[in-house]
Amino acid sequence: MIALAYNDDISIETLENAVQHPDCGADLLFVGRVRGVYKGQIVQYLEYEAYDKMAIAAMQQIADQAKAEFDARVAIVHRVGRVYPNQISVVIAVSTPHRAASYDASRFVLESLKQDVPIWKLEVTEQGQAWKQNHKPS
Amino acid sequence: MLEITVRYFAHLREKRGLSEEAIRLPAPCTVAELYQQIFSSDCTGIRFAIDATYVDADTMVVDGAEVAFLPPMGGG
Repeated sequence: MIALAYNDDISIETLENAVQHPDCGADLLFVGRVRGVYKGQIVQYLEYEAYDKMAIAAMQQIADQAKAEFDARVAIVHRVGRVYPNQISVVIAVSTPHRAASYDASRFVLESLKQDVPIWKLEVTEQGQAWKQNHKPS
Repeated sequence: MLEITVRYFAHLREKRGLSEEAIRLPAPCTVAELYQQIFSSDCTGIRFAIDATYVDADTMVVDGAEVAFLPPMGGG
């Protein structure tokens, strides 16, 4: 399951169900939420924009790489449009035969997504708005 | 004459005032040259795609292509 969610909430359960398999003993969920405060400023909302067809293709490619490298089954859904603090922006579900690979695969998918999936984020605070770019993991 | 579509996103879309446009090119050029022609600025930090696949800055634009300029990303 690889998708963009335009106006709907993301169903965590749907993603987890999508990756479960009898061969897999470890499911791991990563849930990204919008922070309500950024550097002391109150965040009103984020506006995500995507190059839809390329974003889907790039997420599929990352899922395929995770399959090859970690034997992981992967589902990714990312929100597009306006997302408010504490709402979910992205969910990544991975399922692997054993637990160690699930942590590695989950991190690989998230960091690859931030680097290579054409999605942009406009952060709107009480002080103004700015396009925010991803940096190294924190 | 090449006929292409150009896609703009995030701050480039705002700068151009368009999310996409059809452009006729009298002569072949690279995606980086096309960016410089349109924005009159250096393309540092911008990545390029043709038909939704990443390409290098020196890739030639081909007739019928969908060229996209991709500013630094913010997904996640």
